[in-house]
Amino acid sequence: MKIILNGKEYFPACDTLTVAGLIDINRMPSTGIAVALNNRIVRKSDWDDTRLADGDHVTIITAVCGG
Amino acid sequence: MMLPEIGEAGQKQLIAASVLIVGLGGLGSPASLYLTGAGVGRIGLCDPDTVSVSNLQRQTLYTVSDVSHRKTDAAYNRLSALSPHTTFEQWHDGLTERNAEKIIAGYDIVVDCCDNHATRYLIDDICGRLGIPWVYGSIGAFDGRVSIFMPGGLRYSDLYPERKTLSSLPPSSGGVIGPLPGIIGAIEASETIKTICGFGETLAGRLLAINIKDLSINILEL
Repeated sequence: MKIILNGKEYFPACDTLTVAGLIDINRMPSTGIAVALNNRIVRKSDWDDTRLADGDHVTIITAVCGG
Repeated sequence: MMLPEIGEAGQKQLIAASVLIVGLGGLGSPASLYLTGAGVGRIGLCDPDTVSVSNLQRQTLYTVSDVSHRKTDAAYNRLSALSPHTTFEQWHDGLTERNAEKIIAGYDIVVDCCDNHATRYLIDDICGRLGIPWVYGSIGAFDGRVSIFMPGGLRYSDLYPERKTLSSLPPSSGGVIGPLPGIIGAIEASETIKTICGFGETLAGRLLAINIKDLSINILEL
């Protein structure tokens, strides 16, 4: 399986992966980020149940706070 | 006025409109200058801070002679010189739990130019309750975000549900490259004008994410 993660190719070691799993494997902070799957935001409450498929584009958007 | 998308009708809508700008720093500087220049009739200037030397690299409302003065006062002086026809209201205390509802209720639209999560959640709460649209803008060192949260639509607190954790973070104090807030604040002003005049495709229900290091631009559906 190949995923495009923040614009770069990413090959997960396992064949089934959820959004939550992707965050966990890559040791990203689970707070203060939003995740978009194929340009649509996935609500955090749906991360556990949202499975990734070959070719999916995943974009991680950190919650910046400056002004 | 020369643009057909705005025209005389749009100019009248701008004159009749009222906009609250929360935060008069890197984002609020260009946002307030462009909204004043566009002819918005009434603008609220909300910020509790004073101008410091370190602000001047990106906060284009101010000059060296404004250092140590209240931002609301310095901004008023600069903006009223640009447009004597705009009415400005100064909110020196910034937006707080105590005053937020009273202040926000007086405006058609809120432009978020603040520097912390707690104030953004407060704007989200009050605008959601009062049914007032707000333009979200925020920056990191090289990242910028803009969206418009409309009444009844997805909220900021849906996008980032960890309110308690994020609100406890101190205001952003890291460095930022000067032009970045200029870009994001200008987009906020542009989205505000489009919302008031009702033309084009706005960022309502969408999130713009820009990184100026690699110039990546994403527009994501909320």
